[in-house]
Amino acid sequence: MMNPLIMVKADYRAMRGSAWAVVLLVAFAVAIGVALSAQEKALRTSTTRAAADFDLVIGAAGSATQLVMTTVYLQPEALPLMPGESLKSLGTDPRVKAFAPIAFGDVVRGYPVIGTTLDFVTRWGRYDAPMQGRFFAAENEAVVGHDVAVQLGEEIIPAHGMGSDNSAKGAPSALEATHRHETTRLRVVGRLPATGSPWDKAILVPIESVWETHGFGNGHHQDGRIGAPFDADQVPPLPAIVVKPHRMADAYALRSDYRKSGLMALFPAEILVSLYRNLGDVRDAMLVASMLNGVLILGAVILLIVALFSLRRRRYALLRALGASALYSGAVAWLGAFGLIAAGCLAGLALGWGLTAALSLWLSTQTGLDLHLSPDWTQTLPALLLLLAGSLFAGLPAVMAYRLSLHETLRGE
Amino acid sequence: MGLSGQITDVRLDVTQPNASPLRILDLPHLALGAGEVIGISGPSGSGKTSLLHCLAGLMRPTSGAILWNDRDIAALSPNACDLWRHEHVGLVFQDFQLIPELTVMENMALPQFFSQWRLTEIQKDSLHRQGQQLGLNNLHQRASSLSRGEQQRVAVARSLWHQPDLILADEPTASLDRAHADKVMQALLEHARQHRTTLIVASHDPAVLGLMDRVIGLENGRIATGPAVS
Repeated sequence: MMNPLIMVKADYRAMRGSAWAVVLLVAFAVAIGVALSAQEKALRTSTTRAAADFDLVIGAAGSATQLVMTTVYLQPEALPLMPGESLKSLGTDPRVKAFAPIAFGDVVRGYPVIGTTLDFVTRWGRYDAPMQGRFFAAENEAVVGHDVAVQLGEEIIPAHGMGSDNSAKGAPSALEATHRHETTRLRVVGRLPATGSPWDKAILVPIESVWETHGFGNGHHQDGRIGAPFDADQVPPLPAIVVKPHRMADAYALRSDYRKSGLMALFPAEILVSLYRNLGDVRDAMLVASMLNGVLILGAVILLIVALFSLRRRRYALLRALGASALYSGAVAWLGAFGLIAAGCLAGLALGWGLTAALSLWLSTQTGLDLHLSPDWTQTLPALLLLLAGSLFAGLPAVMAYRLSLHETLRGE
Repeated sequence: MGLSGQITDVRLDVTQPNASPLRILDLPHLALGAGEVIGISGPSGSGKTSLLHCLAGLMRPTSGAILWNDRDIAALSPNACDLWRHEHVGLVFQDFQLIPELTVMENMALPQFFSQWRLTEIQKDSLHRQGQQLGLNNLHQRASSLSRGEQQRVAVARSLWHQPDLILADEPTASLDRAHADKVMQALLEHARQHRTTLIVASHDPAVLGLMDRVIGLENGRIATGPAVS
């Protein structure tokens, strides 16, 4: 069996710098395509997962997107408030399996403090117990999300205002210190399992604690009581309520019923679908741009390979002069060009996934979303297309090797 | 392809194909005997290299024939001609034509890789012996690190190693000092005598031409002095 690799290796040694240039050019073209595709998929998956427990969200009429972004993804924006009476009707509605009012506004060391009920803390009863400790059982107790750097048993004092300054989460903040609700002292009693959502970096307290802290009472006629049922006349205005309906039909009926009287009700998926559509449009545009980029780079690579071949044509003529078949010299030329393009594609896949992993890590720290990187064949498609085109164009040097005039080339003419 | 033996008869007419055709070689008849050792002399541009390239099938004559046991080499397809060269011809180029990135051993055995994945131990031993015969002791160093004289000897070793029936050498001693030139010529002649190989050497060197059975002088692509026994 013939061994063209010995000559391919010699060629690579001879044109080391140019070979690296070809590999890097191809790698960049592939990496951009892979990173775009993988990142978009990771973002889509993680945002969907994060919204899984938010079947229906009710809020005051306003921006639906803002309601979802603030409630599900804890983006620090002030939401318009709805009357607290909504809790009463939900509490007696047979279509509602469970519901949880949500209140925002305070922070501890950069972590948002969110008032809610045990129903939502247990994710509608899915958690029998937290990962560590226990669930809160009194107004002055708190549980922390999986990634909150606060120890169990620690006493924390909430401060007014979400995202009070640019201090890193978990770090003491001078600005926070000046806005503390000194009368509210909370004991951390439990740590929740990871959800892969921004709620992993939140501190959850009974909603009554938030109301009390801000001077609105505790939502009940009876002091110290926490959780549903609430006494409607005691409930202050609310930014959001998350509802768990019994059935899909109930969800649609509730969504329809709570879209009146200054309220809005929506499925987070409605917003996400629109978001994904926009993301998809951006991704498609970027993919087309990256494919065009790939075509341009492939063109440049082919030109470079042909130029390199011209520089080395005496070598191919020598092989023929020494008795190498056209198949052998063609194989050397084809493998040489194809090897560079294939190496570029592989390096591009690795670089693309590496870029995606780095970007995911950065986005995770920024948003709290767990952006899982899951390579799949669709992300390798640009690389495969480039490889296919490369394998065809790599035939050019092979054809040129076959058509060489041996006498003229060996004489350097 | 079943061709083996010797070039017996050459009739060549080679014209450069351009606007004003220039006749490069015009050899109405040249008989070559089996196992003959022939020198080709002549000034630069007289057609020595073109003749060697025609005999090796690297250049196709405009008309004429190169008979190898009654088969016309000039009429072979490119692939058949490549195979014929691989099996029967050893070439030594004026400018060595080594692959600088390969080792001495890989250069010497390069044609072997056209049909074989790796060298056997027996082949490696044989290469070592031949290298020693030509004063090449380290076969594992890169060709790029060799002196011009060493490179020339590697080129000669490459042409001999597969024991060809026809050796075509273009100025094989041009880069060598006298001692190494003698060593190279001795190896070429020894091979030719032992294997009854036809050896054709193009050279300016009177000492080299003096070792030939006969010398053909070329001038403007034509035989100038006629066959002459040295």
